[in-house]
Amino acid sequence: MKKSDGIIGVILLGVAFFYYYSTRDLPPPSVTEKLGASFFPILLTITLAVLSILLLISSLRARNSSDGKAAIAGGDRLEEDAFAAGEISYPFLFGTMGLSVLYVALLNAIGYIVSTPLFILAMVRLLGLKQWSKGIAISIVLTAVLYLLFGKALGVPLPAGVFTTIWE
Amino acid sequence: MIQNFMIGASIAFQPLSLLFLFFGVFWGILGGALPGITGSIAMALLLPFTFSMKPSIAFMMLAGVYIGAMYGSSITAILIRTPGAPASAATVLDGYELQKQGKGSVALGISLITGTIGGLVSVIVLIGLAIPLATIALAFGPPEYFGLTVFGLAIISSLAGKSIVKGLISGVLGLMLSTIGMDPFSGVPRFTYGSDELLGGIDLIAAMIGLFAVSEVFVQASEIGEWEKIKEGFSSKFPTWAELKTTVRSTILGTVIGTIVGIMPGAGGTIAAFIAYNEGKRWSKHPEKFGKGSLEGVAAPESANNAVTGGAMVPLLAFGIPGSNAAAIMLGALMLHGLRPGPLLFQNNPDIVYGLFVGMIIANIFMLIQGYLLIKPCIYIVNISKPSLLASIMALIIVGTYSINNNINDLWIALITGVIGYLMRKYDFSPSAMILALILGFMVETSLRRSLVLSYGNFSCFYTRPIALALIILAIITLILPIVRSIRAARKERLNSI
Repeated sequence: MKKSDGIIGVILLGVAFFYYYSTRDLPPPSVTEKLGASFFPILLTITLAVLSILLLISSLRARNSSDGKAAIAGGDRLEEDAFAAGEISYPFLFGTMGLSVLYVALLNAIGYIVSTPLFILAMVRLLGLKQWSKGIAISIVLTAVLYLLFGKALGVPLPAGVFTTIWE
Repeated sequence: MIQNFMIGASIAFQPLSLLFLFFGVFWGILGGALPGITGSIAMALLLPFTFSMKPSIAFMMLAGVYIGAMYGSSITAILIRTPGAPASAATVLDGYELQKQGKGSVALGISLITGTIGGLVSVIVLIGLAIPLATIALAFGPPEYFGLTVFGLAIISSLAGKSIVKGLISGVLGLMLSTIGMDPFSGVPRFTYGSDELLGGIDLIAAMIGLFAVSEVFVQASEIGEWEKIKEGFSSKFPTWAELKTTVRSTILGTVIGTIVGIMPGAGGTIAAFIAYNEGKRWSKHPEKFGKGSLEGVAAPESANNAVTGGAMVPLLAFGIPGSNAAAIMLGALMLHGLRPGPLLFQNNPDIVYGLFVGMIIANIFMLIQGYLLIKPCIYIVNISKPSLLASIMALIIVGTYSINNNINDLWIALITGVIGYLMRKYDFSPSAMILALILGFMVETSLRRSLVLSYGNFSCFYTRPIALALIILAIITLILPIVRSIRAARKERLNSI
């Protein structure tokens, strides 16, 4: 973990520098407004740079005593931030990410009605549902429910894609 | 004031409000029970629906989801040793032991009843605190708001990460995100890199859905294996009066702890539940039973995590400062309607604030009724298959996020923030602190700059106004204290190693 902290520290320093670089085009403070558009961003850049260097140093020292112990409440994380430290399956992870990206990318092109069942079917198969019949049933029922709920009841203009002409 | 409560009650008791409230609590129990959907994810998934509702009804429905989820998460904690949300992680210790002894339904009943008590008491505390605090906050000017928001941010980031440095970095990154878009003072675009889509800033709701819900789907998908199924037999016995009486002491403890922890920004149901479990054990007449199936061991954390719900609304309503993910989502729901929580809401929209007070009381009663009726069907909720659930959640996330602005770009924001959230969680950073900072960042910067405009550029406004000064000093102490402590701890360790 400590080695990754060093790499993250370097990346964050890069972010701080890039962010600072982007503040250069901002107009200077005016007479009525002393701080101007760039004061707060520059303050943030400096803070981030200092914190990234702290992270870098603590990772280089690689001491076993984790500074997390000092955090209040015994270093508990916030509710939603917990991360199950079980065995990670990268095919599952990247597969899920990839399918989601593909789904969004195809949404406009082939339309909601076509892309959604394909996405759901691919997802359940990827994550280990064995029976095709069950997967197909879930994908069709779920698409129908979501389409009726959002497209009809809430009146959301869902991307029609290839069916544009038939629809209108 | 009584008149305001009448307004609130007349909103909350409308048939439509009751219907949505009932549905909200049900959705909360369901979402809470399903591993992979926490209370705030269940709330975020409902956000797109709230757009077409009256803000007062949307607000109380989301609170209903929050309340229901706090009970729901204990269902899976007790029945299959997998907390539906981290807030019930402490419940596993004794709840699952009880299930193994064939008393799973008794444990569920205790969780339900003590949770309802915790929730109801915390709403009363909320009403008692939020109204006077909001009256005080009405007199706050920009310097006080600057102090308040910085103090809030300091608490959140110091509580957020596993290490204070990572918590602070998460906060600063959120503040940086908040500067993207049109500068509110000079009108120049900042950090938009020529993109018109970014002029309005990062869409808060898409970012919340990404950081909370999408990242959770990624985390769940990356884990190998199915969830556990119910193994032992399941009766539907409810706790007896005598059993209930043994939990009085730990319920009182849990309720008090939960309410106080809930008010603190950055600390939520998880921390409250663990503190309550430890204190419940310490003050119990039978501490030796803890961990072996003690009813008190269920009552303490479950009354605490439900008591958090009322406490968490105090800073949101009184000051407009969200201290938790759930509060952030409720703020997002109001922003969809062009409203902001805070002291002015008490004056201008009493229907929303007082409607929420009455609605939260009704929601707790709904939770008690639904929880009782759901005890038997629980088994089916718990035994759902993981691939189908994750695919359904993702499909719901995509269509829901799209429907906020009918815009594909929001989907990309949700996916990108989802990946960022996954990485942050994997490397011990805090997406929650980032979201809260993204919301508060706008308030911090505008209150700072507005203060200086009003004082003609004189920084004295921050140290001549006592409340502003006190808040800024508190913020500095909050940030420095953990650093001093960690240096001390490191020094001690070095001495010990010699």
